[in-house]
Amino acid sequence: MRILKIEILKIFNKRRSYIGFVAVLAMVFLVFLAMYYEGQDLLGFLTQNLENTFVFHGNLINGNLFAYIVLKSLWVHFPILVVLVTGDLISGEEQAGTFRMVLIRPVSRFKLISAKFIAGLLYVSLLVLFMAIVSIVLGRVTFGNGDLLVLMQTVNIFPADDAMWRLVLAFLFGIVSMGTVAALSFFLSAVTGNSLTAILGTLAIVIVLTFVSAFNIPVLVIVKPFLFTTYMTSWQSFFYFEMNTAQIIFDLLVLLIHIIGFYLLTVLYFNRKDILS
Amino acid sequence: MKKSMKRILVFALLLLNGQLFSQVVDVMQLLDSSAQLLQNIESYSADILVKVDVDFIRMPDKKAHIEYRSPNHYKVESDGFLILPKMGMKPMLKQLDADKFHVVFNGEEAIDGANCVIVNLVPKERKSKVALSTFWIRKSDYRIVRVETFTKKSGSFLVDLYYKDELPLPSEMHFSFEVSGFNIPVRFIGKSIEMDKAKLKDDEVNAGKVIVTFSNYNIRFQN
Repeated sequence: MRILKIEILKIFNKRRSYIGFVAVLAMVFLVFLAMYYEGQDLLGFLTQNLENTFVFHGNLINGNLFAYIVLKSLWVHFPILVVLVTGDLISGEEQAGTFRMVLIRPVSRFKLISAKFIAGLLYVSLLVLFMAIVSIVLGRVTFGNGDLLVLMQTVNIFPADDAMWRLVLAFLFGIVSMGTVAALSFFLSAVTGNSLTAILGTLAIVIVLTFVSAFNIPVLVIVKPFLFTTYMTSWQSFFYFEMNTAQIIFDLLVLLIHIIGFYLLTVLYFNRKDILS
Repeated sequence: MKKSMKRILVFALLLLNGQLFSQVVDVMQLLDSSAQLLQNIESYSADILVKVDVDFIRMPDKKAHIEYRSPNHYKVESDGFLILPKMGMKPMLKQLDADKFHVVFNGEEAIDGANCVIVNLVPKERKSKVALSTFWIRKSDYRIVRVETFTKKSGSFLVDLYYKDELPLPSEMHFSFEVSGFNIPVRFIGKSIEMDKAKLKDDEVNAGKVIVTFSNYNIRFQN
């Protein structure tokens, strides 16, 4: 427990750990400006063919839609913010040469790596929760409450109270998705011993695999079920009108297995590693 | 021979003209009586339940409260987002103004066992959004039981009206319509990015239905 506290302190003593929080604030603010000035136009564009036949009552540009749009940025931007910190957790110390000093003390490598890993996951959770709280609170205060309009294969409209728990669950799923990215970067951080390589390597893997998962490229369709990126976007499953709970649980388990897998690989690798720096 | 043929022809034309004339008068009276039923209403309020049955829209049934006060005050209160057909009771009142339309009798038809007169209304104004409206008016009580409207830009829609008790306003309205061009060819908001080539052509027609059920009517009639 003490090691965990120290590792958490180490993370928050680094300036780069706050880049993520500042970037989230900036991102949320930009989405706010976009929605404030363009929200009605966007909605008008989506509903233009219906406006001749129907009249709409109620406010669809609301806090729930705002939080949903912010949440969508998880897919593209968030991994960058995550790996900036988690890709440096092991390699940072290796490059600084502090491991030798730490490991001569009576602390096992397993405990040290586990503490670092948990601290990394806590950081990711805090970052996602920070985004969730900022977007939900700012959205509610500025745009008010209302039904949530989501375009999946159809136009789905969820009542406000229904939308709220879907958003909360989606953000929680986002923690697991980003936890997987963090676990991969943690593993690469141990293997490469270089923060830059670990960060860029993780981003390259995530971008390429996300591309394969997102597009239906005929030759590569067969590998999609074996890529963790296929399951990372499953937070969107909470916004299907009829939610497939079994599929969501399966996707969640696949990601958790990846997180545990990367963690065990890191422990195995680090236990046998010669600390030479 | 020629003279007698001419006489028969003139007689036949006169007969036909007389029959047509009497039908126009009947239709105008029917329209007037039907309009009178609605125009006697000074104000009304009701609770409504809106059920949207459209392929591309998924939403739960919605409750709302509506208020109408003659001639133009119309208010809808609902907790959340609500989709309502534009062709409500208010536009129908407008359409029943025979001065603004060419009225054409189009036969009779039984709907749910009740004999109805079919009346076509063609707007006199060339800029009107509506190209043609057809009303089915029940002969026994002058109530409108069906309206089909063809618009110039928004396709066509059909409204079936169902009545309970002696109220002049419907207890249920079934609004069937077709909308073309509501497509999302690139599912950029879905789980993956998929291009639907068929939808890119943008000529698909989507059919749908909105059912509005009215309850707790509070109607005030003009003195």
